[in-house]
Amino acid sequence: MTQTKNFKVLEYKGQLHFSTIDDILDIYRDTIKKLNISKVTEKRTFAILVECLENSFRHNKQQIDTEKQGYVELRLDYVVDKFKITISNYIKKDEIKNLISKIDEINNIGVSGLSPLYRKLIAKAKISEKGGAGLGMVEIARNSGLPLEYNIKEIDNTHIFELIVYIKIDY
Amino acid sequence: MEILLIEETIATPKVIFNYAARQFEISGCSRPEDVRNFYKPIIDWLTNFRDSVSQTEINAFSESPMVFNFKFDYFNSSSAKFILDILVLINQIHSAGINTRIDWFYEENDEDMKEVGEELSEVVDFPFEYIEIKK
Repeated sequence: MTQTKNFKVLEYKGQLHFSTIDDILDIYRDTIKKLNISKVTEKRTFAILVECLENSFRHNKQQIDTEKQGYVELRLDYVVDKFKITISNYIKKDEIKNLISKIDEINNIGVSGLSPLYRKLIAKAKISEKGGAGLGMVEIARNSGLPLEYNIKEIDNTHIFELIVYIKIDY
Repeated sequence: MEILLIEETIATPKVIFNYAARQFEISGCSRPEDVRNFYKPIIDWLTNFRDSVSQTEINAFSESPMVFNFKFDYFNSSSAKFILDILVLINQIHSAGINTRIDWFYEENDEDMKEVGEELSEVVDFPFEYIEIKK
């Protein structure tokens, strides 16, 4: 049965530890069962949540202000015929340009270009000091199939990065 | 070769590499907190095996191949890099003379998992067998 109203599926605001990711994914798995969506959509949304949370977890550790370290806001909404994932975390000013450039490149390549890009990146991937392989944003885009959106907010000399990912829902 | 056995957790797959039992399998979900340290023993096991291949091992698998089973429910992008490294080592073991096969399992209708297997197969330049797990 398809849903007709928009609603919030899950939300988290707070410090992000690795165990928190497990808890959020547990909530996701329990909640998603009630929505009767296809296994494909369920798995793709799960994959995007993992990559988003792990990206935030890894890069958030860089913040000098300990209150900001590890702080994340995540929301998964049902919006008409799509899921909408919104995730935001603090980001260092000098990381913004590269991140935006990566997302813009992915959006410009489009869906058909993502598989060749993935193959190219994985062949030369090295695990960074932060623990990532640099493939995360491509994986998010592949699982979404829709353009990625982002916002950068500046508050009192600190910067907040917000990523918005849509996933078409199949039943 | 020593037996490598790693039990499954909520974020890491089960790994069993048992030469005597001819069992080589990785299964479950892969999103380790420390991906490098998780996959290191697997990489080391395969590297040691590759470096110690002799006519004895080649003969042992001449009639029936050394089959590596990959049965992932899910793996994150960091794991993908190490899975590729494992596949490269298996290809090297094959090049060393061992009759080798890679079986890539995917759940019924999970075309995404099948597709990522096809991509990895292409990057490594080694053919996989694709096996659908019916529910």
